[in-house]
Amino acid sequence: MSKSKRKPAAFRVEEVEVFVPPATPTPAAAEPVPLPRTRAMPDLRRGLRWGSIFLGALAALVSLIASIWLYDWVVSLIARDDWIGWVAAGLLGLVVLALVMIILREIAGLARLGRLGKIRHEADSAARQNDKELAVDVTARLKRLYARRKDIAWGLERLASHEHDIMDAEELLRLTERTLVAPLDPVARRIVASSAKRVSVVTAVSPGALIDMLFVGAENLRMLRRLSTLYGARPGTLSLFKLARMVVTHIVLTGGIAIGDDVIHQVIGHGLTAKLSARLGEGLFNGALTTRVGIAAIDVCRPLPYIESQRPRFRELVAEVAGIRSA
Amino acid sequence: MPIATFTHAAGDAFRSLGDYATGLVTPTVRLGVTGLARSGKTVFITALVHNLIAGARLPFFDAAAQGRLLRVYLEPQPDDVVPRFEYETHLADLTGAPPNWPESTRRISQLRLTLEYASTRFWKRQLGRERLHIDIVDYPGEWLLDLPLLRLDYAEWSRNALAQSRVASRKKAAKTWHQALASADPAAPADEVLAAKLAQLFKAYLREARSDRYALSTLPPGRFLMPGDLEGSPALTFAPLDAGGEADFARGTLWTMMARRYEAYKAYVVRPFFHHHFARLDRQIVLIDVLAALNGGAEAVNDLERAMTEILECFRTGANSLWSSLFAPRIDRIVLAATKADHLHQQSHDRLEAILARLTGRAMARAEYAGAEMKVLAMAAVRATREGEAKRGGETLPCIIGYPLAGETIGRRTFDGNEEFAIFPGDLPKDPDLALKGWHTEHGEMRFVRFRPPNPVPLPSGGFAPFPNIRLDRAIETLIGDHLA
Repeated sequence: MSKSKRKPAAFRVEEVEVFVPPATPTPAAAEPVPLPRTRAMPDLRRGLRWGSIFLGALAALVSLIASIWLYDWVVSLIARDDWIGWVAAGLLGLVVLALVMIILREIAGLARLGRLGKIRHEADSAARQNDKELAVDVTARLKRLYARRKDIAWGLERLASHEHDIMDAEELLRLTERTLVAPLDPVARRIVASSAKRVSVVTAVSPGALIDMLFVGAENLRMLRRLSTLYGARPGTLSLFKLARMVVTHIVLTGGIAIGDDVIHQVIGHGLTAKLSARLGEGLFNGALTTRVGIAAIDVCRPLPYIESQRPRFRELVAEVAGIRSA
Repeated sequence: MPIATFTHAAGDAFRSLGDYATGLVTPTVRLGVTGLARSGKTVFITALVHNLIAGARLPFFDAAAQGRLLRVYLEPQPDDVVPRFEYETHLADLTGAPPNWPESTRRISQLRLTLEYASTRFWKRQLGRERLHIDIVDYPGEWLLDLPLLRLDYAEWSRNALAQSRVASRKKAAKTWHQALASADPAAPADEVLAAKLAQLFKAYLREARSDRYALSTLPPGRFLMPGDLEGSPALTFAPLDAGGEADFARGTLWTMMARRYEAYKAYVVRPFFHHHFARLDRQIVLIDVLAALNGGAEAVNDLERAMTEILECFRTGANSLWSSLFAPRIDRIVLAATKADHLHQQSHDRLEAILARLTGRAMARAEYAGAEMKVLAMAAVRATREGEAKRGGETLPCIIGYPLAGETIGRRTFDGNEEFAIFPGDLPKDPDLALKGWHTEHGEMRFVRFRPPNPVPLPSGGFAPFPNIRLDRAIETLIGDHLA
């Protein structure tokens, strides 16, 4: 940069190629920082994964048999050369098409999920190192991600009106957070609170433990899907499970921090309520669990780190579940 | 002069006690806009008022960004004897066709701005909309140079002024005055004609040293450069004398007459100015035109550093306690702004800020030690350029595009003021110390050109849209943001 050979110069605007740099650079402008992988287990050196080979081979064999069987069957149907044969062929075509589409959508869902994580990570490092280029890139990608969302249209417009302002990396990210992501935060909180509320009530009144379990599981998955859709991941089935795994990993990794925070209150409070009514205590406990999962899911899905806004706190959300609104 | 000092201090204490009582009803922030001549005080105040009144987008001024700023308007100022800041005239200058920078300030003036806002605090909100007064004072920057004189007597001042005028860079400008001085005998009987002649030559030297060719800053007394309404009075008819270290002269000599006038100048000009306008400030923004000093070379930069350090030492800075806020309020937040940041590409703003921080290092350390909050910003209250890139021989240069003022030069090209140019001003050195040494400008590796104001954008509803700016909102947030919480 400072070659100290660059002498001052003046150019007539028509004389040279003067261009205002594009506000949104091409996506490949900044080389992505490799995403650190979070593993719950240390990465042990292992030989060939015989288990995966076994499963993979088995699956391939089964699908081969199935497709041969299907193929034969359809060929035999077509051989009949009447309308049933053609209908069967058409249906098979549809099945294959739908399968391909589902796979594509799952892949897209996974990619979107990965993209959110990457954006967050890069935003974090841009803010830390005051890397303007990376911050501009992150903002551009986020804008593209939300480009068609009606609920963020106002924020997008507000952000666009500051495009030519002079900001450093941290300020740009702060503005992006304020205009694009922060408006989604209260909605996310409400989603978590309503899920937790539902879980609490159902656990408290349901007759059997099995129904509880199923309902808690289903409701948690539903909450995950709604949260990730809200922040722009729109997950399919596979990516939903991947998200669930990420959330669990996140809870495991940050569990130690959270305990210091409010779990002690929770345990004591739970004990007290359980004394009053076992079912009520269980309901509250499940609700609290859902809240904790919800907070972790917000952490995992939110495309920006918390720069200006506050991370939702467990206690606030529990208060929201209980219907106490803070001023 | 201990009694006068004491009475002044007591007067200040009573005044601030009164201010504190008024402040309980409607809080008032006395905003000091400090800066040497041509550092952009008037433009800053005009842009500040215009942005706030017009409800401009100020993304990092929280109260405005969160939509809590309900109404901003001008109100009659509290002091009835001080002229009003001619906001409308200055704005008309900036929005004229063609737009011009406002003329340099010739006298003191004042303005009160009232902000109505919704507080974020629950109890304050219940009381209805909150109000905050902001009192701003504009004055000729030259007068600021007088503040350090309060601590010098005539003999000391004479010695300093002479020593300064004899350094290499000033010698040429001071030549005729030095010749006249050599023939003047301090012990001779007082002679009005001789005194007037010496004062005249001394003034001429100060004017010359301030011109762009030298761009020097420490040139007290400031009233000699911008006399206000005291032109020609005895208090302004004195000059330093060369007594060769001697300070005892009989009555009726030239020396005693000069010394008396110098003291009168301090007592009737400098001290009232200081006590009425600087002793009671709450917040302060110091505007410093670093780029002009860099243009002037090493001597100008060192001079600027000395001037700023001396001036900043005159202010009471530090965290406020209850006692101090009652009787002697201190300035608890200071913004140091390198103005005219639009003369540089934003890539260099970090370096500009580093240079400014280095330049004001001593003054900053002292204020921070006392507990004041400091913030260094590269700022432009009115942004006269846009940014772009120009290709030259395979090299991409980050440029700024605007209309250079007529008469500005870069290399061999002189601008006529009517054409748009893309300017690459050169790279600021990474190491601020190198910039202070000044060899970059002396070797022609940096040249900062001044631009005319941007073309005004008329609004359909009448008036003009607020000008684009650089970091004006950050400055406002630091200065008054906490009062609007």
